[in-house]
Amino acid sequence: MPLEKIKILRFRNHKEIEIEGVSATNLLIGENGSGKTNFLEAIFLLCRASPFRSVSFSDLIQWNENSFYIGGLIDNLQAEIGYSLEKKVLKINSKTVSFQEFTSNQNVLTFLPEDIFIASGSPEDRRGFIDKILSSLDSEYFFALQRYHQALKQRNSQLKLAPKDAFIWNEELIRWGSKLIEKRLTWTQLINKSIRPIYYDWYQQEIELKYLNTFKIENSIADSFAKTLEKTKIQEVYKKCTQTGPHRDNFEILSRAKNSRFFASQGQKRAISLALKLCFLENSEKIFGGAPILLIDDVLLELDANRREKFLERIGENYQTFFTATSKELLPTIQRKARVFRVENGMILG
Amino acid sequence: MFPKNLGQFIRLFSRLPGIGVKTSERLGFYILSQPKEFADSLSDAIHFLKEKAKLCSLCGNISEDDPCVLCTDTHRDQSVICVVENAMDIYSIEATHIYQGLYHVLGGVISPLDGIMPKDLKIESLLKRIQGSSIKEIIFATSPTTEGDTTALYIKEMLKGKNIRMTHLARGIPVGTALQYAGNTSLLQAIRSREEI
Repeated sequence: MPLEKIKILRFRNHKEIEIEGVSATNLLIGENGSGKTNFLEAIFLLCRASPFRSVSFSDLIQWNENSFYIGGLIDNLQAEIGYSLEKKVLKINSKTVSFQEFTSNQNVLTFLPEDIFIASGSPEDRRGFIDKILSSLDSEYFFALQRYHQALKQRNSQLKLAPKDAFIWNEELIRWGSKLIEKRLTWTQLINKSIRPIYYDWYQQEIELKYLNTFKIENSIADSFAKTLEKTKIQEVYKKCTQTGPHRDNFEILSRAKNSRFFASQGQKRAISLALKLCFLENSEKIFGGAPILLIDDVLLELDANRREKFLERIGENYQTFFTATSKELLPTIQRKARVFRVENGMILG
Repeated sequence: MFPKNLGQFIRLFSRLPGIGVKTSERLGFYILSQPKEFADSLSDAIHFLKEKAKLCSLCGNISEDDPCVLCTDTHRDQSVICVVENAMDIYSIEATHIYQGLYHVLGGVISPLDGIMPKDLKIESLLKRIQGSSIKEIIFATSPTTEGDTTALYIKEMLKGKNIRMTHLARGIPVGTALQYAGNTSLLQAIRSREEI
């Protein structure tokens, strides 16, 4: 069992929680705002040493306190994360370890309400979602993304100060931008290969993740990027920012050539985001091995009973899972095999 | 409230890089606890640092003479220039005792986000220095960041068509550490630029 015990102190709305004998399937029941998601986030921190969203660590501390602590037994290793006054301590078996060592221990995957942005959000939301997934699967992607955005920031600043020298940044921009495009193309193919059968099984419809680059690629990506930058030169000086490149790329989900944002129902949009996460799960296991802990926060309730069962079948018994819901009757199949926890005002009652 | 002189000392010292108000306070109290001779030699050291030290008009190194000892040393290889961001970098490279060529200090890297443009760096003087000289190679020892790499690429572009070899320092795993401690991206670079043995 990956996670067996967990202890949480002064974290978000949890003052003190200590749970032993965590089960393979776990169901957290509680009203809105009772602390279910916070509990999932504590597990996430114990595996990844970072919060769900980009918030500062000091925002994770309970109101009126000045430190938090999360400890747990994961895969027979004692993992601990503590934070107080700008200082973070990560420990495995009571020894202080680096971020890299701490996070290499146990993988975790979230299914969160906001994942639906991939099917309904703005182009930035969708690009952000894909960037996040690819960054965690492919460290070279993450590095290229960082370098590209730094070069882009400098170039845009250059365009404001002295536009005629913007070319200085072209080489870096093209180098890392082409890498991003190349990787987005390859990954889109891989994702399509695994998302099609999953979605077809649920809705008997073909679905496709479409990657839309900002310029036409002829010969090499780098050459085409360079040519496009040359073409947009005058426009850039006038608009004072870089007009073309991977930062403007778009991802769309299409079914029978129609865009998901227009054709899909709320349930289908949710299903698309879940299917994408399942592709991610499949690839992440291929790359890193080992079954991640799955944190499934409220996302199943938008699916009809039939598709919900199909989703659960796909997960099967291979993972340790944590589900949340406002009432246990909503997830009968899970309730039968799960250890059920009641969450009330930051307290967890076994 | 500190006495006026001590307050002034603390404000001035906390302007130094890496020193905050708290450290500055400790320094002030420490100096007060020492004999007067210590304070005198410390203030002399600071005074003469600026008085005696000059910038070498050729390479930008800190030196007592202009041109500096490195530029005037005829035993050094006059056909290689190592381009660094700051004069401090010269001393790091000199400590290796392996490099025998010349230096050129840029005084930073191109970074419009910080308001630093090519004209704010010693790029023009580097190009002038190379003009009509016997330089055959330029080694870029700028940081392996977006800004450091771009600065190197910019200078390379300026020297296009001049028959000069241009290199930058190798990137990869630090020597003497175990492989497992090398970061993912460093390791990736190291595999890309692996060498024959």
